[in-house]
Amino acid sequence: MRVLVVHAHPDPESFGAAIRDAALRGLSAAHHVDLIDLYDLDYQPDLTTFEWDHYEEIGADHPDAMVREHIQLLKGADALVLIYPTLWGGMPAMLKGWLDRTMVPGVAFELHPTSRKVMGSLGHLRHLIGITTYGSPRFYRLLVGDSGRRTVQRVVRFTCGLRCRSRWISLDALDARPASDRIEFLDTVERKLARL
Amino acid sequence: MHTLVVVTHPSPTSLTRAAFGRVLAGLESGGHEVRVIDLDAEGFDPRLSLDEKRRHLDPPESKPDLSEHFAALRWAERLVLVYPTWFGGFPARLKGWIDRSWASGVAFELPEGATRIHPGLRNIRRIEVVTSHGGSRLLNLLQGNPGKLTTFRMLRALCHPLCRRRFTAIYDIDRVDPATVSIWLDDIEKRYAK
Repeated sequence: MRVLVVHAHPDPESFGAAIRDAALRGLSAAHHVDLIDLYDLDYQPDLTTFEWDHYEEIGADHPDAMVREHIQLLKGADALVLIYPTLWGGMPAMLKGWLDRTMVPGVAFELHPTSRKVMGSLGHLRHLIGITTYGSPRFYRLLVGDSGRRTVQRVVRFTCGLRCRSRWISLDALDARPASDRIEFLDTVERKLARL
Repeated sequence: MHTLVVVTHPSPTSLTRAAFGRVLAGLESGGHEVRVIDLDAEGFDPRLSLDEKRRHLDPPESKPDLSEHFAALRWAERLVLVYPTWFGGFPARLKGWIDRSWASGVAFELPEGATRIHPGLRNIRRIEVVTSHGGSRLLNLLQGNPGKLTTFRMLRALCHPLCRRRFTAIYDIDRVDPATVSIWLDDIEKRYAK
């Protein structure tokens, strides 16, 4: 399988980067892996005025070479893995902007020509996997809701086909954890992705 | 009422920008004191940098480039977010404004030994959203309205305990007729004039 891993963490020495490496270790044995490391690429997450003005046709030939490459990688992927630290209940702006700019009409969805209804077109994805860490303990996350998870497992999931399998791998209360929990989590990530 | 309006949309001719104009018109005729943060006009960089991440819990005085945003948040009695809903929630620019400006010592305090953050924006008594959706109301409901959740649960938890909410939304914007849009816009102006 071709697996596209998208990672957004500002700190290359963070636990988030260790999760990315564990995911890559797990995947690389059996799959072809493409990594998009948004901070490494100095990615620009704002959808531009030009992109908005040409929103419906921009997916076919994007003027930005980096976005064009990301669109090709996404279109060719059998699995999508998103790895990020939860900030304010959701994705960092860096990753949200990647969705805004890459998942455009003709790539992630189509607008029906007459009814103008949104129809998903990521039917080629067989796996959708979100991996995140939360600063808050579990009860607080349940109380305030998990908008990051909803964005991945509902909003993005809705653009995928019925046969797409969606999974969520997460660690709560990161700052309060002993080192052993973190190591165990890295093992979990590696093991789960190795069995993809 | 001290009202802080935060807006983002890359296109000046968009419905979001039209709605923003009507919010301002309403607030003006209602005699409210208004401050505006136009994230596109000021070219706000939504990316939390490595340096900012490492200084995450440093006092706000150590982040002079965000001082106007901090001052506006402390001044506001009402916060109005005006944005297009993309992928269920905020555009990157608005999410990044929250990631960076809702900082330690402004939006929350994390006292020594505490396991979770304490509210810092008790001055905000109303938190409101004006947004447009490409998808239908039903689709957004099924998708769980993640953007609405972020505002009304996550952010509201740091405001006044009795902080009121208001969600002014339009759905299916590629399909609705112009009359519906113009009723929606008129309604916004009326709401904000009160």
